[in-house]
Amino acid sequence: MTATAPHVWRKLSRRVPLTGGMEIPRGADAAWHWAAGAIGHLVPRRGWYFHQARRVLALADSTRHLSDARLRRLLTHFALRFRLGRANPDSHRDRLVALALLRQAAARLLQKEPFCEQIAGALALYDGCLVEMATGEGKSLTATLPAIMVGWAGHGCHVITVNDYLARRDAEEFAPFYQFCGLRVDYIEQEMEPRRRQLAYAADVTYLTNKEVCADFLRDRLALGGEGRLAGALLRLGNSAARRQVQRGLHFAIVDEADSVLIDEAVTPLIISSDHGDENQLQAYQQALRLAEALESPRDYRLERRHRQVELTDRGARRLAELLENLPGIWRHRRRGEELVVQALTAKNFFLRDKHYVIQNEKIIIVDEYTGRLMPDRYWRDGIHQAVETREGLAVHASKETLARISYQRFFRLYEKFCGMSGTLAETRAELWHIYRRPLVVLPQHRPCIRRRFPVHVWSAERHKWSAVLEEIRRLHGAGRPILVGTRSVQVSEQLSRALTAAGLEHCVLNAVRHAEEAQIIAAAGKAGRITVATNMAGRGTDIRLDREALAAGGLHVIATEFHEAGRIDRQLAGRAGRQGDPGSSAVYASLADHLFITHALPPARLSGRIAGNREFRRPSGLPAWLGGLLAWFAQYRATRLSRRQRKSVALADHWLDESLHFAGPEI
Amino acid sequence: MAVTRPTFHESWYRVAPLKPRLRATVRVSRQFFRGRQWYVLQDQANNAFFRLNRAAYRFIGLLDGRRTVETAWEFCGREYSDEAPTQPEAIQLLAQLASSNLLEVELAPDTQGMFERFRKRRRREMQNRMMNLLFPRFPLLDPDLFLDHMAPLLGWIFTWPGLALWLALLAAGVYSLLNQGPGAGHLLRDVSTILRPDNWLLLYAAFIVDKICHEFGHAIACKKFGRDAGGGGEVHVIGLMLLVFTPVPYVDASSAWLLPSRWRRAVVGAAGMWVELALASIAAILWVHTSPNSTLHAFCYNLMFIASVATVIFNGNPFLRYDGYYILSDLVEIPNLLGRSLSYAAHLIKRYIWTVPEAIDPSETWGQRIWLLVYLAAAGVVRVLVSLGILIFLVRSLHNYPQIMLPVAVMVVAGFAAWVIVPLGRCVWYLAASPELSRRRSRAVITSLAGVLVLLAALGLWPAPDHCRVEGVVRPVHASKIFARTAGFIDWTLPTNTAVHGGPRGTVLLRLRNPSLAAEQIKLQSQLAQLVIRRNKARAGKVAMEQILTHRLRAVRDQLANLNHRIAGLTLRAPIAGRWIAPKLTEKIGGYLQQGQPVGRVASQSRRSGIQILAAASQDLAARVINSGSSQVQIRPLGRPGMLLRGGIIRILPAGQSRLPSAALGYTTGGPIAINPQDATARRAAEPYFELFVRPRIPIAIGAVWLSGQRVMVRIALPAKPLLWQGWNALHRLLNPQTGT
Repeated sequence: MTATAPHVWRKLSRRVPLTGGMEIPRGADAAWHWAAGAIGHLVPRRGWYFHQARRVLALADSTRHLSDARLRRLLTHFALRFRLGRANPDSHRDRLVALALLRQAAARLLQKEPFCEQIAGALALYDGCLVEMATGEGKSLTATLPAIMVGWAGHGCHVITVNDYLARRDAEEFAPFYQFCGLRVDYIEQEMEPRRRQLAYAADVTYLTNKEVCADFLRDRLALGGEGRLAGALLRLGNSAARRQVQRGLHFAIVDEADSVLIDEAVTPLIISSDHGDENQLQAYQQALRLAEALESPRDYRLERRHRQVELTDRGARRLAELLENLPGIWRHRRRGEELVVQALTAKNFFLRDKHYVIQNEKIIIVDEYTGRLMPDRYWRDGIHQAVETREGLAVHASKETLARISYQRFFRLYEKFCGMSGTLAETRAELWHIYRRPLVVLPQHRPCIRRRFPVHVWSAERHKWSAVLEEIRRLHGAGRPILVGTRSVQVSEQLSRALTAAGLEHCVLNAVRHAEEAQIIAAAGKAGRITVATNMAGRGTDIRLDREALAAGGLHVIATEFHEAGRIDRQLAGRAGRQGDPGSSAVYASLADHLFITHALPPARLSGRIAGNREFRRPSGLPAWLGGLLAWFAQYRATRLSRRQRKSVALADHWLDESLHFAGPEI
Repeated sequence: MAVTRPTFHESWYRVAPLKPRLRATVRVSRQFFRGRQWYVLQDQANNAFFRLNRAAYRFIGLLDGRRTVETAWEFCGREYSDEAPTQPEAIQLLAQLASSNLLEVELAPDTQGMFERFRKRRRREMQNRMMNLLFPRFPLLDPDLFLDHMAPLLGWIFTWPGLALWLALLAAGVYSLLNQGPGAGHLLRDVSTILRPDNWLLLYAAFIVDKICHEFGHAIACKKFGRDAGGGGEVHVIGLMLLVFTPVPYVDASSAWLLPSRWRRAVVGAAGMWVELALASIAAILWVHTSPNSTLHAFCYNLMFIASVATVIFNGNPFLRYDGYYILSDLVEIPNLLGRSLSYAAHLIKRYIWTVPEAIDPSETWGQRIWLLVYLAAAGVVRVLVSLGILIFLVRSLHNYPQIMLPVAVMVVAGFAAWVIVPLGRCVWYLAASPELSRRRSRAVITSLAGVLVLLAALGLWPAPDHCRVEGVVRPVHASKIFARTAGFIDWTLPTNTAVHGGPRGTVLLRLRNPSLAAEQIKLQSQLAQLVIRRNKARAGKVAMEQILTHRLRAVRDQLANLNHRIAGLTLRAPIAGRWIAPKLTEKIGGYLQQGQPVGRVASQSRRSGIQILAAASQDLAARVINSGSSQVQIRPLGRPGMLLRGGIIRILPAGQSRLPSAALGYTTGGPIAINPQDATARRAAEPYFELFVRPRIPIAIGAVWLSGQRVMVRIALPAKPLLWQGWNALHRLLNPQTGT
C-alpha cells in the first residue's frame, strides 16, 4: 500500500455535505436574512476598497526602483507569508504590499499596469465579494491578482470562464506573470484525459469552465462510490480510487461572468449519465407524435406560454382517452399515455428548430436561450428530448440513466470561498445574497462612458421593425461606423443575414451554428464599416477593439433587435459599444410581436402584440418611446420574477430531496 | 410539464439501487375505510403512524431488503398500471417512511444528518409548543406497564355485560334525580352558582377527578381492545395539558389507530365519556343521599355537572376537536375529517373556480364528498357559535370580575391570532407565493379579491333586519292597590291569583279581626242604650236635660256609625273586577296589619284594559330606539319563547329614572340591570335608565299566561342596517361596556 497523496487526504478528510452547509433560508429566517442583506448593502464597501486601492497605489510607487530579481525574491517571500493563511497576523497589510508588488510585476511582464479600479476589484474578490465591473475594464487581469494571492496559499485556485477558448487564452496570456510570482498555471479543456486533468488541477491556479469543474467533481465523487469519507475511501477502496481523483478539493473560485453562471445557469443540473436503452421507446414516441397530431390547439389543449406548458382540456382528455382505447402495450396505462402525448405536444409547440435547438451530425444540439451558445452535452428533461428527436426523424437516444447530478447553484456553494465578477450584477443583488450569501460591490468605470443610447423603438408589426433595422444599418454603414446587430436566435440571425445580402450589404454572421470562428469575428467586429450579426452573447469575454477609422467615425453602434427576458442581457449587449471611454452608441428596435411581449407583457399589450403579429399593417406604426420602454420594462420585470421564482423553487425542491432522501445515503 | 403525475423523477437514481425494507418493529394492520382497503403502519418504538393505499403498500411490501427499489417499482407498475405509484410518489413515500423511522436501509447511517434531523425535530416540536400556547402538552409518565396490570381487572367495563351494567347505573342515577323529593328545586337552581368564584376550587377538583377517570377510560379501552386484537394498544404517554392555563391530564391512546374494527376504535374514543357518565350517575346518587350542607354534597353536584353536561357539550360534540370528532371520523371512516373537508373545499375552489390543473382531489367516493361538505358547513357554524359564545361569556365575566382582565386579554389575542390572523395570512401567502398557483395566480387573486369584495359589499351594503332586546315586567294597565283600611289581625284571605268581582258587592278579599273594635262597639252600643233610656225618662219634665241627652245620643250614634264603618273596613272587597294578587298574604294569616298597609292588588283582567309592559332600557339602547323612531316590538315571556305578542312602544320616559319598576329587573334577582350596591332594597339602579311603556297590539288580559310582575323579553325592531355596521356597533358596545358610576 502506497501512501496517500496529501491533497487527496486533505480533500477527503474535509467532507462537505452537498448542501454546502448552507441552507436557503425560509420563513422568518428568510426575512431576517433579507434584512441582513439589505443592511449589509448599506456598508460602503466601494469606498473602503477604493481607499485600500489608493494605499496600494501609494505603496506601488516605492516599488518602481526594484530590480526584477529583487521583485521576484520579495514575491517569493510573500508567497510564504500567504501560506500561513489565517495564522498570519499581518495578513491585511501583507495583502496591500503584495498587491503593490504584483502591480509592478504586471507592469513589467504584461505591459499593463492595473489601475485603481482593478486593484479595488482584486481586493473585493479576495474578500469573497461579487464585483460588478463594466465590459472591457480588464476583468481578466483583475482576476489574476486575487488568483495569485490565493495560489500562494497552496490549496489551488479555480478561475472559471465561460468557454474553453477563454480558459486557454487567459491561462496562456498570463502564464509568464504567474511564473514570475512563483506559481504554476494550467487550464482544462473538454478533450483532456484524466491524467492531464489531474496535472492541471494540481497547478496553483487553474483556468477552466464551470461545466468542466463541476463534471470532474461529480466524476470524483462517483469514483469514491458514494463513500465520500476518508476512512471508507482508504480502507475499502485502497489507494486506487484515491489515485483516480482528479481534483484536490474546492478551495477558492473566481467566477467570470458570474451572472450567467450563478443566475442564468444556476438551476441547470449537470448530469453524469450512462446509456440505458429501451427499444420500445422509439415506437412509443412515434405513436405519441401521431396522437398529438390528432389533437387541435384551442379545443383539445391550451398553450401556457409563460411556463412553456401544454394543458389538455377536459374535451382533449376525453378525446385522447378514446384514441388510446384500443392501443396495446404502454398505452394501456392511461396516465403514462397522456404524459407521452403531452410531451409530444410540448415538443411540437414550444421547442422550435434553430431557435431552441439546431441539428448537427444527425443530433439535436440545444441552444442556450440566454447565451445563444450550443450546448452539446445538454439534454432536455421529461422526455422532451426524445419527443423532439422523434419529430425531427432522428435516431431517438434512449433516456439516460443518471449516475450523479448537481446544479451549479449548489455546486458553487461547496467552495470554501468563491467570488465572481461580471458587467451586470446589480439587478440580481438580492438573489445573489439570498442564495450564495455574497455581497456585491459595484465599481465605476475607469474612464467615463460616453456611449449614447438612442430611444427605444417599438413597432407594432415585426415587418416594420426589420425594415427600420435595415434602414438604420444602411445609414450608419454609409457613415463608416462598425455595426453589431444582436439577435435572439439562430433563425433570426440567418433571416437578417439574408435580408442584408439582398440589400447588398457585406456582413459577418456569428451565431451558434458558426461557433468556431467566434473570437476572431468578434475581435474583427471593431473595424470601420464592418457589419456583424451575432446572437446576443456570442463572443462574450472577447473585446471588440476599434481601429482608428472606426473611432473617428463615432465608434461601434450596437443594435438590439429584440428585448431579452432579462434587462441584464440587453445591458451586456449595449455594453459592447463605448468600452473604456471609446465613443459608441446603442439602440433597441423591437416590435410588439416579439417573444418578450407575447409571452410576458400584460394581457392588453400581449393581445395587441398578437394582433399586430397576425395582421399586416399598411403603415408602419410605432409606439412612443416612453410607452415602449415602459412596456418592455414591465414585461422584463415579470419575466425575471418568473425565472427567479422558478430558480428558487428548484433550490427548495433540491433541499427537500436532500432532507428526505437522507436514508439513501449522501448524494453523489 | 402539465402532467398531473409525471412518471419519472430526476433524483430517482438515488433511490433506485437501494434495497430498503420496513423495520422489524413496524406493525401493519389492514383496515377498510369506506369500502377501500388501507394499510396502517405503526412503529412501536416511537408511535409513528402511516396510512398506505393498496398499490403503495404493495410497493412497500415488495421491498424486502433483497429487491431494489427499481425492481419493486417496475413490478408494481406492471401489476397496478395507473394506480401504481409514480417515481416522484415513490420517492415521497420512501422519504416519509424514512423520516418516520419506519424504513431500514443497508447503508452506513449518516450520523451527522441524523443529529441534524433530531435537532430540527426538537426545534419543530418546540415551535409547535410555542405556537400552541393555548393547549401546550407536557408528557410525564409511561403508564403502559401499569395498564397491563389494570386491563384484565377493568377491561370488562367495555364488554356487553359492562354495557348493561353501565345502562343500569345511568338509569339509577336518573331515577334518583327524578325522585329526589323535597329538594327538587335546587337541582336547577344551583346551576347558576356553579361558576361563582367561591365554587371554583371545588369545581376544579371535580374537573380533575373527572378528567383522570376520563383519560384512564381511554387508556384501558385502548389496552383491552389492543389485547383482544392480538397486540397493539400500547399507551406510552401520560402527561399534563394546559387547557387555557388550567392543568388537565391527558393520555396518548393513538395506538387505537391500529384496531381493525372501526366500532372498536369508536368505543376507545367514547370510553372517556362512557366512564364520565357512569361517574356522573354515581355522583347523582350520592348527591341525593347526602346532607345538603356537606362538602361531599357540593362536590358531587359539581362532579355531576362536569361529567354530564360539560362532557356532552364539549367531548361529545363532533364539531370540536375532542372525542366526538374522532368517534365521528372513525364511524364515517374518514380519518382527519376536518383537514380533509377543508382541503376538499379548497380543492373545489381550485378545480372549478381557479381551474388549477394539478389540484388533487382528497376525496375518494361520492359518499365521502357529501360527508366532507356537510361536516365542513356544520363545523364552521358550530365553531363560530362556540367562539362567539365563549367571547360573550368572557366579556360578561370580565364585567363582573375585572381581576381576570389579563388572562382574558391574552386568551382573546392568542385566539384571534391563531384562528383569524394565521389562517388569513396563510391564505394571502398561498395566493401570493404558492408554486401550485404559478399559472393561475392572477385568476386566483382576482377571484379571491372579488369574493372578498362581494362578501364585504353584501355585509356592508345590504341592509339586514336589526333589533335590540330589553327585559321588562308585565303590568296591568289598571290595577287597584288594596290597603288595609282598618288595622287588625288577618283572619282569612282569598288565595292569590283568583278572579274576583268588583264593586260594592265585590268578592271578599281579606277579612281582618280586631277585638278592641268589637269591644268598643259593644261599649258604644250599651252606652247608646243607656242614653236612650235616660232621655226617655227626661222627656217627662226635664226639658233641659232632654236636650243635653239628645245631643250626647247623637254623638254616640255618630261614634258608633264611625266604628261600624271601621269594622266594615275589616272586610276588604275587590273594588274592580280582575284578579286578586297578593303573593305572600296567606303566610301572614293571624298577623297584624296596620291601617294603611298595602296588602295586595287587584289587577284589571278585562281585555279592554289589558296588560302593559314596563321595560327598563339602558342609555345606549334607549338612544338607538329613540333615534330609530321605531315602535314595533315582539314580546316573549322569559323561558317560554314559544309565546309571542306583538305590540308597540307607547311612551318612553326619559333618563333619570333610577328606581326600578320591579326588583325582578335588578341584577341581584337575575335581571339585566346593575344595581347600586349601597341600596338595600335592591331596586335602585346603578345608572339612570329609560322606561319604555309597551302595549300589546291585541289587548290581552292578565291571566294564567301573562301574569303581573312576570319578566318578559321585549324585542324592538330597528330599521334594517347592513350587517357590517351592526357587527361593528355590537363590538363597540361589547368592548366599551357602560360601567356603573
